This record gives sequence, structure tokens and C-alpha cells, in this order.
Amino acid sequence: MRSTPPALPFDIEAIERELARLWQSAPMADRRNELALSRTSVLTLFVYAPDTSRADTARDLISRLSMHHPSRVVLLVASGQEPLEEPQISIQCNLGIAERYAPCYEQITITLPSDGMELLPSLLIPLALPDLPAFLWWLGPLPCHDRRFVAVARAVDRLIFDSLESSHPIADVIATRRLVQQVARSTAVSDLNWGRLGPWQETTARMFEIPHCRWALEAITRVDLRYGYARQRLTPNPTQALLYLGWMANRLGWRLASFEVDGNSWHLDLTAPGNRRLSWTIAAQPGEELFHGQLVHVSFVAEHNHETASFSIDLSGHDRATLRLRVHDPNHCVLEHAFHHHLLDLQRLLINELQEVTPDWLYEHALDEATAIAVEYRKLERQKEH
Amino acid sequence: MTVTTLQNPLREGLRFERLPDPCVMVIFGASGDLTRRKLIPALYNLAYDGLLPPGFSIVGYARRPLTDDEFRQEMRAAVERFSRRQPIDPDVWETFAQGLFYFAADFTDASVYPKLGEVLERIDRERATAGNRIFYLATPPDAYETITQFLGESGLAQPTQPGSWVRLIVEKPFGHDLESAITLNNHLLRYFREEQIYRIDHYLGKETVQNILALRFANGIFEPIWNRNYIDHVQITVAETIGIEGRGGYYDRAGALRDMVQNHMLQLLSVIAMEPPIAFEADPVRDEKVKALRALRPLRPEDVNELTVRGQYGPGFIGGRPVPGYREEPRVAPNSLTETYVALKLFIDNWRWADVPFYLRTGKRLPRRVTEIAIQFKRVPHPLFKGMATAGVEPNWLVIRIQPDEGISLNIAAKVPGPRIRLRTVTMGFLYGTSFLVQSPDAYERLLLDCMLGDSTLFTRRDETEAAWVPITQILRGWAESPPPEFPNYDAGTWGPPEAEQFIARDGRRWRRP
Ligand SMILES: NC(=O)c1ccc[n+]([C@@H]2O[C@H](COP(=O)([O-])OP(=O)(O)OC[C@H]3O[C@@H](n4cnc5c(N)ncnc54)[C@H](OP(=O)(O)O)[C@@H]3O)[C@@H](O)[C@H]2O)c1
Repeated sequence: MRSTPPALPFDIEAIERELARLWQSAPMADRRNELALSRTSVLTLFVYAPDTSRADTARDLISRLSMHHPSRVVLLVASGQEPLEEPQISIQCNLGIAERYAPCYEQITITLPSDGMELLPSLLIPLALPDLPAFLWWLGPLPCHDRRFVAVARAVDRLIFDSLESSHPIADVIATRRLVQQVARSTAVSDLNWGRLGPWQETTARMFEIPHCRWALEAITRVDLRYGYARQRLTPNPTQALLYLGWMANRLGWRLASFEVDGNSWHLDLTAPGNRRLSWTIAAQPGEELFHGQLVHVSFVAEHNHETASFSIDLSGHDRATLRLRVHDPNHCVLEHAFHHHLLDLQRLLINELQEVTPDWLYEHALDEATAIAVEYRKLERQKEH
Repeated sequence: MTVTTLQNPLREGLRFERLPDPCVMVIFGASGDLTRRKLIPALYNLAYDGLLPPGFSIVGYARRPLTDDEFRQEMRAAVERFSRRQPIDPDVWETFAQGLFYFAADFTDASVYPKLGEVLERIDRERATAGNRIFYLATPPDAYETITQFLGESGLAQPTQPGSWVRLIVEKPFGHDLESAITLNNHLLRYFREEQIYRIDHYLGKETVQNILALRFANGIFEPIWNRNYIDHVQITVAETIGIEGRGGYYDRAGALRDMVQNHMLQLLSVIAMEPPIAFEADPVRDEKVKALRALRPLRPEDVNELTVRGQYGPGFIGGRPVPGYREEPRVAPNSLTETYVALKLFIDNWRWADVPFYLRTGKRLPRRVTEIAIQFKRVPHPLFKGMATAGVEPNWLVIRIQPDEGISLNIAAKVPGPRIRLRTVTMGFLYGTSFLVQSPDAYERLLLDCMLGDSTLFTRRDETEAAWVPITQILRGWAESPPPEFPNYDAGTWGPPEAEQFIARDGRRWRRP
């Protein structure tokens, strides 16, 4: 028998009434600082935190984010505590950003029962500002196996999650693809972990644009890829590595020919157009927590008519906030190139997603390919179990 | 430059900004102030953000003898001091510095240019820069002609490899009147084609131009009323609180009209007044801007005094601190007649703008730093609320603010709640910077990147520079024919000479308090 989900002890319309009252009573200007308070809205951001510790992370990020983004932010916290708290409603104005204006944003915090999945659409739909895109940033593992989640995702224009949070990465890659397909008509899906690949993809594209090296793109014979694995996490998270491989396979028309698993190292044989073979290795490299699941090294070898070129991309710098490319081309010319990346900056990753309003077809294609590999991997695992 | 983009399937769909082709930038005047304060820090910032291609290289050209390593050290110090990205990222710096080279020579010596060519070829081989070059003239303006002539004669002004490009960046000032601008243009065009020439006007960042064009042409509600039927007049204000900041030698020869109006203010005017371009691309946009400038009503010398006001500041106070008068500034003649303030009224004689005055004012040592374009709409035809409490009601203003706090505001009249009809003006506004989470890039970074990408929207085309010199030269002639005003005629820290108030009041209007 299904139990009825708990109802919220307040009226959603009261939230709007309270906000209207707050705006009416707010002074139009901060006289002491000679600032005009300005109300602008660009989007509604819903943030779901499955527990209070993640809610703290979210609060901190929201306050930094809203320094530059006067929108409506609704923080939904699954507290697990009864009775539920009353919603907190406030208007925050940021002084000291612009010389003569202080941008303001509305913040609403709602505590939910721990199993509040079914309630969510009835909150998301009425609280979204009219005519503006609504984003839902889901902290913690994505409940992509929960059928009720489809209705939640459909209630917003864009769902943002982070596959690095996943505790069953392979199964989740497959379930995420299914979810993306189910909500495709109404909702675009963004994975922050895919966003982290941006600088890697850009650097990869750049190597093959160096005039001496263009030939190498169609002559790749070997790729070695390593991603971080923090042992305290028990299982490695190869999602980012899979998405990277999925992206290249999609762009270059590679197909999986054979697959071998050796502990945390995978060896894949791929066929490229023209029946060329190439080998990929994906290995988990033990390291710090910060880099768990993140690419740390990619190298390529290309061979053609006795010419060989090699490239490598690594995280470098004392805070590893730089991506460094090294190129050795057949004329023995060595070229180095580096730039700063924002892989480790959650705020920047989120901002990038908030700027997108259309589906990311490249992500969807990469996810298709990654899913195909994940399915093969599961087959191999099952065969081993038997 | 799109060739690589199309050939590389990995490029498609990536979110990064477009990446320029690999190239070498030769900076003439590499030991100078502009290079140290602006160019190298801007290039480093671009490298830091990953906006420069692998292999990008710089050749610094000046007389002072320096080795490559010494030049790199000096440039590192410049980046440490002037870059907005601090601290320096050692990896980014190291790879950026691998592409920094120094070429010590006198640029008036024709015989060194072939050697420069050899250096560039070597860099092409070692750093895969494919023959793409940018020559940046960061030198005193009197050197522009010599350098371009020698570049042309040594064959460096034109591409030598198939598919490669050569571009020239020219700093302002671009001439000192119409005739000198034409002479300089004719000279440059003997050696470079117009598409190769990028004339910098760093004031008008791309964001601003694009913001104004987006406001005008992406919103259905503005364009129908953007004309003489609904607009009463336009005011363009560029107010500075600073004085001349040690640039006395240059400024005393130039004055506010040449320094600000000829380039920056006429740029703003043309973006506001232009017709919709057929595409959002460099040439269509510039075609329309030039048309607006060409439609400016000619100023006859005898009318100039009626259409302009000149001012020069005396001592006064800025932000509570005393500041000297213009004539007391270093390297300014004690009896200087150079204007530090100018107000003018211009008309654009075309279908859209006939008889709508454009009031422009700019000055140094004014009480507030602000750049804005304010558009005043006509009052309603029938005053329905006459006799009621309407004292606080202004006509509708649409204000496009550029500095500080880039944004837009609109004044509308609204009824104060209550049984009586009382109207008040309310301002609705928004800021670009705080609405979209992104920082606008620095103007030099944007310009350098645009030039590498071959996007000349933000650079002035030959006809544009010349069209902008026409009214300026007419005003200069008119001023030369009339007795100079009693200078100084405004105190530092005030909104300019009292004549400027009378000037606009004669038309039954007043300056906005920005
Ligand atoms: N500084 C700014 O912020 C700024 C802003 C806007 C526009 N601008 C414009 O930018 C240009 C450069 O300004 P700047 O302030 O950098 O000037 P600057 O400090 O006087 O520098 C001039 C440079 O030219 C070099 N030079 C002069 N004669 C030379 C010759 N015969 N052969 C080789 N090199 C020679 C000098 O180097 P050596 O003495 O070592 O030869 C020096 O590197 C000017 O057109 C200026 O109007 C400057």
C-alpha cells in the first residue's frame, strides 16, 4: 500500500503575497550610500539540497552567485525533521557592486519532508517567474532511477546535476540517458561534470588545429587517459572519462571493437573510418579527493607514413588550475601552450550552465556513446559474475 | 580563419569563444608606455583565459638594446604591475614568454626590415604561426608613415603564404584635421588594403556598441518611436573628473574637440542615429554609421559660435580636494587657449532625424565621471492631467548609461496611490554587469582579439574617420575666425561654463543632471 506523501504546512500563494509586501515596504533607495535599489529578473533558480550540509554549501554559493545575478532563488531543503519549518522569504540587495545601483534578488527557503519528491512539481511550477527560464540545480546524486523524478525534471526548463556525485556511475550513465530522452521535449539536461570537460575538449581541438599537426587527427593510433581516484570513495567514477571518449568517438566516427577490463584499467579497441584501428586506455590514478573522477592526463600518439607525433595534456601549476599542452611534432618542434581553467570552481561551472537555454546536442551525443560503452562494461561484469 | 574551424570536427559545438589563427604580433614601440601598461598585460590576460592560439608570438620592436630574455623580464614586471589577473600563473607565463622576442633597431632605417622578415619566418617555422602577422603601431604618430612605407617596400605588408593574412593596427590620434587624416589614409593605402587596416578607438568597447544595437534592433517597442515624431532631442554626455594626467604636451595641441568629440562622441552619436544594418557584421554596421555621419548638417563658420560653447577649467575642487586650473598644469602654456570643455548642437539631416537636435557635451574636471546617452521623448499631445499635482513629472527619458554601471533606465510617469490624482516620475533601470553573471572583458583585450579574428566592427574605417573629421574641421575653422573666449571660464568641479546652460536654455531645454 502506498502511503500518502506529507503535505506542506503552508500556502504557496502566501509566499508571493509576502514578497509583494516586502517589495512595497522596501525603500526605493539606500540613502546613506546614495544607491538606487534595482530589481531585475533574468531567471528563476531552484536549488534542491537533499540534506542540511549540502544546503549550507548551496547557501554559500547562492550568496556569491547572486552578487552578480539579481534573480529569484528558491532553496529547497529536504530536512528529514518534523515538524517542517515555515518558509523563509527575503529580499537581498547587494551594496558595493555598482557605483550607483544595488541589484536585489529574492530568496525563498522551503524545507521539505525527506521524501518530498512528489510534492516538488507543485512547488516548482507556481514559484517560477513568468516568461523567464526556470533552472533546477540538483545537489547530491541524481535520482535518475526514480520514476517520479521525471515529473520534477519536466517542471523546469533546465535541470543541472553533477555526475561526479554518483555512487553507481555506470548504472547512472545509462539511467541518465534514459531520463534525458524522457524529458527531451520540455527540459534540457546539463551535467556539471560535462562542463568540466570544456577546457579539455578545447585543448584537444586546438592540438589538431596547429598547422603542422592537422594530419594527426586522422592518424591517431593510441590514446591514454587517466582520471583521479580517491581511495576513500571506494569506487572510481569514470563518468567524465567516458563522456570524453564518447565525445571523441561521436565527432570522429569511432566504433567500439573490443573491450577488456583489468581492475581499474580499461583497454578498448576502436575502429575509425577506413577500418583504421586505435587503442584506448582508461585508467584510474590514485590521488587526492579534489580530483576524484576528474581527468588528470590525456596523451595521443599519431602515426602516418613513418611519421610520429605525440601530444599530452596535463593539469599543472601548484594549484593544478592550469591546463598545459605539449606537442612533439615530426619535425621535432616542441610547442607548449597553457591556460587557466575553472574545472574546480563550482560557481563558474554553474554560471556557465545558467547561461545556456537550449539543449546541448554535443552532450547528448557524447552521452549516447558513453552509454554504449557502459552497457558493454556491464555485460563484461555480468559474464565475470557467471 | 574559419578554415580550421570547418576542417576540425572536434571544434563543432564547443562552448569556447572562437579561437584566432596562430599569428605573430610585431609591436613597434615595444619599450614604450602603451606596450607596458596596456598591450602586454592585455595579451597575457587573453593567454590566461585561453583565448590565444598555441604558437602565438610577439616581436617587440624598439631602439633600446635588449636581449629576448631581458625583454621577457621587463614584460613580466609589466604584467605583474598592470594585469587584472593576479598573481601571475607561472605555467601560463612560461608558455606565453616562450613566444616573446625582441628586435632592437631604428624603424627609420629601411635596411633592417628584411631582417625583421627573416625573424618572422624563423618564428613561423618554429612556432607554426603560418605567415599570419599583425603590425601594431604603438609609436609616436609621426612615425606611422615611415614604418608603413618600409613595411610595404620590404614586402612585409602583404601575405606571402597562401591562406595567410597581414593586418595593421593604428593607434589614435588619426590625423589632426580632415586634410591630415586624408593624407595619412592615402599613405597607408599605398601599402595596405583597407581590409588590412584596423584603426583603434579603444573608448567604445564592443559590449557597448552591441548593447545599444541589441536594445534598438532586438526590441520591437523602440524602433517605431526612434525618430523625429516621438523624440524631442538627444543629449550625449562624456564627463570626466580627471584633468590631463601629465599628458599636457599632447592635450594642449589637441583639446576636447579633437580628443573626445571627433572619435568617441561621434561614434556614440552614429550608433544611436544609424539606420538598421542589413547584418550584424563589420561592414554593414559601419556603412550605416557612416551614412549617419555624412548626414550631419554642415556647420558654416559664421554659425559655429551659435552652435558650440568652449570652456577651460580654472582651479577648483574635485571630491573635496583642491585641484589646479588647466593653465597651471605641467607642459601647458600659461596663456593656453585650448578648450577642456565643449558643448555643441548638431542636426542630422535625414528622414528620421530632421530637426531633432543632438546636444553633445564633454569636459575635464567636471563633478562626476559619467558617460551617457539620454533620449528625451516628446510630451503627450494633450495634457490630460493639467491642473493636478503633476509637478514632479518629467517627459519620458530613455537613458543609456555607459559609465559607471553600464545599463539602461527609463523614466515613466505614474500615479501616486491614493484618492487624489498625483503623478510622479519613476525610474526603471537595469545594469548589464549585474544581470548576466559575466564580466565584460577589458577594451584592449577585446580589440586585440577582434583584430586577430579579423573582425573590424569596432575599428574605424577610412570613410568613417574622414566623415567624423568633417564637422570637427568646420568647427575648428569657425573658432579660428572668432575671438577666443575669456579662459578660464569654469571652475574645476562644476558642470562647465555658465554659457553652456544658456546655450541649451535658448531652445527651451536644459541639460540633464547625470
Ligand atoms: N600610453 C597610452 O596609454 C596611450 C593611450 C592611447 C593611445 N596611445 C598612442 O600610442 C602610441 C604610443 O604611445 P606611448 O605612450 O607608448 O609612447 P612612448 O612611451 O613615447 O613610446 C614610444 C615608443 O616608440 C619607440 N621609438 C620611438 N622612435 C623610434 C625609432 N626611431 N625606432 C624604433 N623605436 C622608436 C620607443 O622606443 P625606443 O626609445 O627604445 O626606441 C618607444 O618604445 C602613440 O601614438 C599614442 O598616442 C597611447
